[in-house]
Amino acid sequence: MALSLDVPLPRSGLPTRLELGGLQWFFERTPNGVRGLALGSEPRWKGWLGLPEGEGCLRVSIRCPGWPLELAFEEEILLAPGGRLRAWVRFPMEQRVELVRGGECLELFRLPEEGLRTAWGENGGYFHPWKSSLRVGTRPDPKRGGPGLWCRIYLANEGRRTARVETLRLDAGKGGLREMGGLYLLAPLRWVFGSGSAPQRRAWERHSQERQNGEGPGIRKGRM
Amino acid sequence: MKRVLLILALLPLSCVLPSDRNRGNPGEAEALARLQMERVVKERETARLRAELAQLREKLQARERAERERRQAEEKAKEKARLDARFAEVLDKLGEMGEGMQEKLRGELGAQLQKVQEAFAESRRLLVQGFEKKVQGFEKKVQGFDQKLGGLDAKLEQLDARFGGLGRRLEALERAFQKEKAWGNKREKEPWKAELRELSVSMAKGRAAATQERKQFEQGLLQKIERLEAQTQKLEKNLEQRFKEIHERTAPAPQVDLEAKLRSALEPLQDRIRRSEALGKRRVEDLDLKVTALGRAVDSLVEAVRALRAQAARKGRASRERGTTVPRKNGKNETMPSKAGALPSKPPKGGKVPQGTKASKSPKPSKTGPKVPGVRGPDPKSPAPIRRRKAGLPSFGEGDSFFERPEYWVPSLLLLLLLFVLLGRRPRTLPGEGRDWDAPKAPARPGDRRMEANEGEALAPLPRPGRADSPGSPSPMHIALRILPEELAPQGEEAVRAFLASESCVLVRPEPRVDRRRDGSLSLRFYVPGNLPAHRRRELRERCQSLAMGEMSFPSN
Repeated sequence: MALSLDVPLPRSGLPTRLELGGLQWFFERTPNGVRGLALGSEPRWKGWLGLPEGEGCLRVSIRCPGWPLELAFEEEILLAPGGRLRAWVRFPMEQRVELVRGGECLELFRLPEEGLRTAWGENGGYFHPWKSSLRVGTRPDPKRGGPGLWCRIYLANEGRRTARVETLRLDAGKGGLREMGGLYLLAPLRWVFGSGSAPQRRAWERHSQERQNGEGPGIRKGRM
Repeated sequence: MKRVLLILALLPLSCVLPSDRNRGNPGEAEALARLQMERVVKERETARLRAELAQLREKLQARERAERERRQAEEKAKEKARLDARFAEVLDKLGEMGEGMQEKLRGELGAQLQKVQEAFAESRRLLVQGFEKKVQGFEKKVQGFDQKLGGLDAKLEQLDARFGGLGRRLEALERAFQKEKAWGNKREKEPWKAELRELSVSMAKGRAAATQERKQFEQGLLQKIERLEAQTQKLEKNLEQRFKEIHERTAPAPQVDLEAKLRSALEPLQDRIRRSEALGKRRVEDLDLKVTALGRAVDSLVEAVRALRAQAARKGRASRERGTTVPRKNGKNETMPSKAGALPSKPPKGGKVPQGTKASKSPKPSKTGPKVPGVRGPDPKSPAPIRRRKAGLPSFGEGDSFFERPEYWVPSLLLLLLLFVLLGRRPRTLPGEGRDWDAPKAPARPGDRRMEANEGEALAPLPRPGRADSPGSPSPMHIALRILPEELAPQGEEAVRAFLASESCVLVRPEPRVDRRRDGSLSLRFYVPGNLPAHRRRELRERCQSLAMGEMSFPSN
């Protein structure tokens, strides 16, 4: 399990294949071009690529979606004053196919996860609306969780009124992405409601530093 | 086939191998794609067959249920007929048994009745005998009482005779007492009665006067009350009127309808304001450009004029040098171009010839011109020479026509042409607005022609995304299509809806709209990201057209 895989450019009679993020990729050179194929439970992508021969490789990588996510929850989330909540949330992923040649990396195309849509708002510009359910408690099982990006979120209410969490707008790709224990993990995110400030996000580095220092992942007063 | 199955079985193992081992066999991708597609098709077919099987099972169950109900109904009918027959038999038997029992009971009842009648007669006889004996005893007692009563009557007669005198004496005493009582009443009660009568008369008089006064007071009071009521009614009317006015002023109209109306009215207004703002900005920019160009043209013209002036000055200087031998006419230097033509033929009054003006010393024209008394020249307040002087242009004499001097009218003509060119330019179109959005244009197709014809109409009700966006992300593009009723397939609308709902390139907000028009045509309006390539937009349009016309189906098998 990796975040990206490199395969040599297909040669005639020597097709290449790889599996990443629940998708099987096939590239086969024909006299007219390179036939590409991505298979999930159904064919997800079919196409023809015109690729140079010789040195170089194809790189398939897992990324966060290009626009910010507007996260909506299937369950109702209410936070009483002083209340906190920790949970796991599954985010959609996007696979990118790039041509690496001569030290340069050229993006060929992007394949977003099925069901990922794009929307546009007057104030916020483009975003991906995404509905997910909270997984409270233990870490998700990589075998049962399926492909996707998982993120630990911390919600806290420091205000004087009950906070109802309906949607959260976040830029999931900013904090970095890593593979750990069979899961693709995003940097943990934290929101503090009622503090008069915008939702805060904890960087991956700070989280890693806290883990290294032996501190728990609890919510701390200091924000970034 | 075996080979393909073997490949499929080994595929997950090979995926984690290093890149050198990620080598497959020729044609594997095609075969796998084909197999995958076949598998998907078969799965769909299996699902369809399962659904049909479930429907058939349901039908079969329904049929069995109906058959079972029919059999149950038949069995019930048979059972009912059997029970009816048994019931009739039982009724017959009961009838026979009842008749026998009735006869038997009649006999028993007759015997019993006879016995009762005999007992009744015996008891009646005994009662009559007892009564007769009692009556005889009572008669004997009555006779004894009659005898005693006769004795008492005799005693009573004796007593009447003894008390007759006492009764008469008592009557005489009573009469005397009555007389005495009448006399006493007459002597003591009459004055009291007279006094009482006077008192009652005076009381009646006082009561009448009090009643009169009270009536007057009540009438006055009633009048006051009526006046107050009238004033109160007036005040109430005024207050109601004012309350209504205040209520009409302050009370909000039905909020929901008004808000909805206002919102519906506001949306197009906001859209128009946005458009007009963009248009205004555009016009301001255009005007800025025009003004800049005009300024440049004026600068160039001034430069040209300065050059011409310098040239004219040089010419004037040369002619002046030549004209020193030429006799002066009217005391005016002919080399002065400003007023040379305006000089009169008559000499000035007093014979004083004005000295050479500044123009004779320098090429700069004088501000007011030479003042010659009695000379009828052009009006110094006339605007044209003043404007020319202000603009730094040399003025012309009367005999010096403007069109006879090409060095003046040619640049003016050029300036006019430049002005016409600038004013005649088409206004710039904002990117992402109007028909220039989708440039480069797709090759002409009937669908595209339809789209162009209806694009402006389709834009009106949809919320237009503004241009305020994050830097580097172009605004969404609007795609509008119209499918004519004769081209619309029966399932076309549903297919287009399903396609737009599943296509990842189509923005979900603003929401895509598929509306059926009054004329039966189908209107499609949706947005795509601004960075979507033109060929992808063209593909989307063609796909929508094909789906609506029934040339394709969605989801395609």
